[in-house]
Amino acid sequence: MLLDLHQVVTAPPGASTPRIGPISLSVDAGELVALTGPNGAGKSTLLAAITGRAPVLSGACHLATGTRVQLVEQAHPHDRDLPVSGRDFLAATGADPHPPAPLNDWLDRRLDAMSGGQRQLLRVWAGLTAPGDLVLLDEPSNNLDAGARAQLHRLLRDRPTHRGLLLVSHDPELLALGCQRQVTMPAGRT
Amino acid sequence: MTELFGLPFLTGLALAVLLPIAGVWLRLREEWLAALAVAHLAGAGAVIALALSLPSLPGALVAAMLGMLGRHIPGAGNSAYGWLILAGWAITLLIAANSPLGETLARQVIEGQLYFTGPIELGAAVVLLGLTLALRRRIDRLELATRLLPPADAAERSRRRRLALITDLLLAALLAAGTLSIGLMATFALVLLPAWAAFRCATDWRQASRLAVGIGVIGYLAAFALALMFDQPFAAVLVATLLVLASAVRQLAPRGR
Repeated sequence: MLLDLHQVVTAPPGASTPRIGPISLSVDAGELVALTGPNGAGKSTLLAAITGRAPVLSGACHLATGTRVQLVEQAHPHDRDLPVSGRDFLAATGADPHPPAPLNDWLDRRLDAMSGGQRQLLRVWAGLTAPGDLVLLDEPSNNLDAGARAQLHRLLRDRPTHRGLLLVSHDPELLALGCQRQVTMPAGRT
Repeated sequence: MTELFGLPFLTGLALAVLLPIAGVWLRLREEWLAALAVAHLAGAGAVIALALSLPSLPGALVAAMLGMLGRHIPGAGNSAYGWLILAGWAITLLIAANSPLGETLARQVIEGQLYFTGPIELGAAVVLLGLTLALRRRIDRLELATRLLPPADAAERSRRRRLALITDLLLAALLAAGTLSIGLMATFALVLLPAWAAFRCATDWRQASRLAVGIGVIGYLAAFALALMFDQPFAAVLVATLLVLASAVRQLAPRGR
């Protein structure tokens, strides 16, 4: 098992309240597990707990020894006014430098000259193909138009099969992409 | 003339290549103010060392490294760099006022002493040039990855922290060498201005680094010639030249797409 959460209670980074959970889930190699729940339920905070950026207040969060994790976050405020092309981005992250069309057409553009959707798809590609065993995708279809959503679905359908994938989403089309399990976080906080 | 200015010219030229590279790394981190803070601390360290009859280079180096490592203190940011700038400035001037050679030394640190540099400064610059060129690709990749796709597991965080520490020590050494050779403000200008122009105009990372180094070197060559020709203080001429050159590039070159 790559990731095993047992009755985990967490809280946003830097705060001990409000508490989120308890929640249990697991992800094995090759599995796609969906994490859903209403806005504010704490899905992104749970990802922060898995990646060590939010405290685990009780319960157990276990990553298999040597598991490399890739996280594609929901908000990306990090690439404004940077002379970094798509090719630079993939090289720096160690991702596969040969993405499928149409992503390969954007590689010579600066990230800050791409649309938000193009940047998001490139990030998902980097997360899926950079060295890693477990990929955490936080609302990857947010703010994508219909065409970009279709491309995102293709990327996820054709993803490397040996990795575990924990997908945070509300998008029913995305959740229908062969999820092995769906875990719903409760609205309330303890 | 060549004998008199040969070593200082080469020392300055090496710094005109190195400091813009430091500038693109610090700008990528959004920590360019660190350059001014660490340069102030390096200056204070040099003056303290000289006041204690010790060599200035190790003093500057130790103070610069302590300043650079300060970024790892939780909550440190631009406010911390502002604090360090003020501390370095106050220490430098207070020691200057209370030691026999202090005033001259403090002026040298603030205004630069390129024409008085010799084999030690040139040797340090050449060693730093070799180190920087050897580590440059690894540091580029590390700094870009950290900015664009933060590490998500403990092993990767730890690996990046180790590499970032090496980068910090190299940056500290570059800033200390710059401060002792060309002065505090000229060092800051070579870190800040070429990267400021290059980040707007370059189409990718490699071009940004090359453009920053190009601006640094052209600005340095022009300033060296102008300062000698018109008998003006070199550091002030370099800062003024870089201000004009970097602003012109930023305004006239097309925005990188």
